[in-house]
Amino acid sequence: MSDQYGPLKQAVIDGNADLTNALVQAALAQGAAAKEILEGALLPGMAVVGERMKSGECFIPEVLLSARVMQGALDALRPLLAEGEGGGLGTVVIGTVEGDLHDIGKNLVGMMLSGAGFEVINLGTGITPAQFVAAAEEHGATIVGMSALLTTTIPRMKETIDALAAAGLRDKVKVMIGGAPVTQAFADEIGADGYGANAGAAVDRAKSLVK
Amino acid sequence: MPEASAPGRLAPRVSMLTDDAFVYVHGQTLELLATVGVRFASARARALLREAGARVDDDSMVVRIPAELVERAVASAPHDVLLAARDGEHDALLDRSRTFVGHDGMGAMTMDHRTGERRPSTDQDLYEACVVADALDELGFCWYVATPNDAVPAVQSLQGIVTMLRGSGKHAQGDLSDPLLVPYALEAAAAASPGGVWDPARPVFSIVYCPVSPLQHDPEALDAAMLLAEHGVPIVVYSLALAGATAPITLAGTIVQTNAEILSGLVALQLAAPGSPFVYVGNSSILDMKTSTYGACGPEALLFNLALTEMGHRYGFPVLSGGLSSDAKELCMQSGYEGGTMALLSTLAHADLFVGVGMLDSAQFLYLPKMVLDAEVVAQCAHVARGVQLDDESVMLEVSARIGPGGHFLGARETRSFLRRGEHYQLKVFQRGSYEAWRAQPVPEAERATAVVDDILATHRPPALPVGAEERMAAAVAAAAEGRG
Ligand code: B12
Repeated sequence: MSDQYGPLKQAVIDGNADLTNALVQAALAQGAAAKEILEGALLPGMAVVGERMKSGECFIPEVLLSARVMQGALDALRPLLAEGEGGGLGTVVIGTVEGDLHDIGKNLVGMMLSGAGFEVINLGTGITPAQFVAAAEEHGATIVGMSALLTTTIPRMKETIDALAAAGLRDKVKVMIGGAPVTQAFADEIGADGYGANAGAAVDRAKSLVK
Repeated sequence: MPEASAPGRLAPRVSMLTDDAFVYVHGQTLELLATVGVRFASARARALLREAGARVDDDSMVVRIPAELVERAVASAPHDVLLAARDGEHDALLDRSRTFVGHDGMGAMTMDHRTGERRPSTDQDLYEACVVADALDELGFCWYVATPNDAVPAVQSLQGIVTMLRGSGKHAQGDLSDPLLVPYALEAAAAASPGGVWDPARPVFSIVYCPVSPLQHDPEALDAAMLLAEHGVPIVVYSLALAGATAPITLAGTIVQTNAEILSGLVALQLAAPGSPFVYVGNSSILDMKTSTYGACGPEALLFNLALTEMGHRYGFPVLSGGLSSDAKELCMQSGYEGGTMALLSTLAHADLFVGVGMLDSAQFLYLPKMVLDAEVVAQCAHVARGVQLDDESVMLEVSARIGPGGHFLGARETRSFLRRGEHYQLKVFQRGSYEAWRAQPVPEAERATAVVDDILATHRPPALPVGAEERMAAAVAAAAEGRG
């Protein structure tokens, strides 16, 4: 199966949108199932890109390009996928906490998660605990991701976890946190489920949380 | 060869900006400001800009700033800026004649030199870093080097200013991004000022204000900066564009955008408070495209700082440049190289201020012993900048004649007298000497620096504050906490 999809997988790795879309259409025309294309070519392609990022072989913008290409292909497949097949890893609601406008890290993590097969809802910056709760509810989130880079705004993370608990959502979602001054120790202290020191680690942790 | 007269002092200077380059960068900057524009989320700033003739789109909040407005702002900012010291002795007058050095900032974490543990910074950490800065002659001012995580979050930055003023007699350069805190900060600074009154001619504190790359201004932070400028508080406009992420990947594109961001901040500040003191900062950097994290140091940061320091100077502004920062997580060759080269280049570019003392890990944590080592680097940089005195007395031909071929200079009166006058730099914590002597008692660098820190903390007391100042400052913080609570 993987050989059959070798060129498509390679097109994702190369970040070649036109070729990826053409090969997806060709595979569909030949009767391939959407799920098979996704799992046999698109996700494995992204996995290779993820590995290359970790080993320092490729640059972040190249990883992001592959992620965008894979998203484009997924958009074409989505109507053909049965319920629960849409990439399958679940929905991440991610935002930068209230009072904080550092968003580069959060955006990067969001793009990388969507490249890895998560549905990502990027809420933007200055998100209050109530807004995180409302978004988690609205989108049926699997993971709530919070970013904070200021010591003055980090307390919002614990408040959001408390708000999720108060809304009866704490058992339904996993909470991930990050941002330069955030540490694993802090994540443990406030009862977050996951922490990511960088975008690659964030993806690994998110995947392990939904396994 | 014709007879040459003695040239006097030869002082090295680094420069990379030609006249043409300045004109080109300025022109590209004006075009960016006039065509792409800058988002000002502050309604007050937009009103001022509109009134002054800028094209304002209220929906997108984007303001297109005509060249003429920029030129007017450049002309209205003062060339010399005084960062006054509350002790009256350590004033930093920024007039291109000297380079003053400060801490790095703002550390969420501190590597505790007593325990070796890296933990969240406290108010006491900030206080100690200021006491050490007060004691070290190489430091000319204090920066907000550690954030007091044990203070109420809403007033942390105010607490920071108070603690800096308590810990040192030197000028305090802090952060204040909340307009509601402005009156409390002015009250605290008044309490610490001689006579207990705020003197706009002698501001004992100043504020770092950051535009939000690319090309935006945060409403609260800018409103706070405009208010402070109206009270004579110098505003240090510090754009932190990260090439490839919040600015073009190219060095040229990032230089132009950074310049545009700084100048757009200047325009708003000069409209709110014409003639108010302003400092230009050229410390942009990159996003590390392999680890997806901030890279504060390295060749790109050196080039950004060099080019922008000269841009700022050409406009006639005082400039704050990068310095002893490092992306390294420990004291090592990387930290020495990154910090040392930037410090030397900033010194030789004659930056009015440079920062970076005392921190590691891309300004993420404070480590007090590094302050002592950094101070040694600063002292050596200053010695290089002093250059070579070139005249008949220093060439010493007469002495050479007296001693003649084959003699030695150790017994000459001139040798003693020049040594006493500081012709040679004398090491403080760095070491020379024989390998055997070192081997007999190998005290690691960090330990030697730690001993100096411990000694300073045990013996040095910052200059006394005016009577009642401690109480007034504490009351200001408490009132602010209540008001913001
Ligand atoms: C760029 C920057 C800015 C830009 C932000 C532009 C933007 N659009 O985001 C500007 C200039 C606007 C800015 C402003 C300020 N900043 Co700032 N800023 C930085 C800087 C230099 C880099 C941050 C960055 O973008 N890094 C690149 C990204 C990719 O890395 P990252 O954010 O860490 O994200 C990675 C990981 O942390 C992780 N991650 C991030 N989020 C998440 C979320 C989840 C769920 C997971 C799993 C993982 C994860 O993955 C990411 C990708 O690898 C840091 C320095 C530093 N060492 O981090 C200071 C820093 C964060 N800023 C700081 C400060 C103080 C400020 C200001 C208060 C300065 C001022 N005086 O105005 C203001 C505050 C504004 C506000 N209200 O938020 C301090 C905070 C110190 C403290 N003790 O709190 C820092 C540490 C600098 C310093 N040492 O002083 N800043």
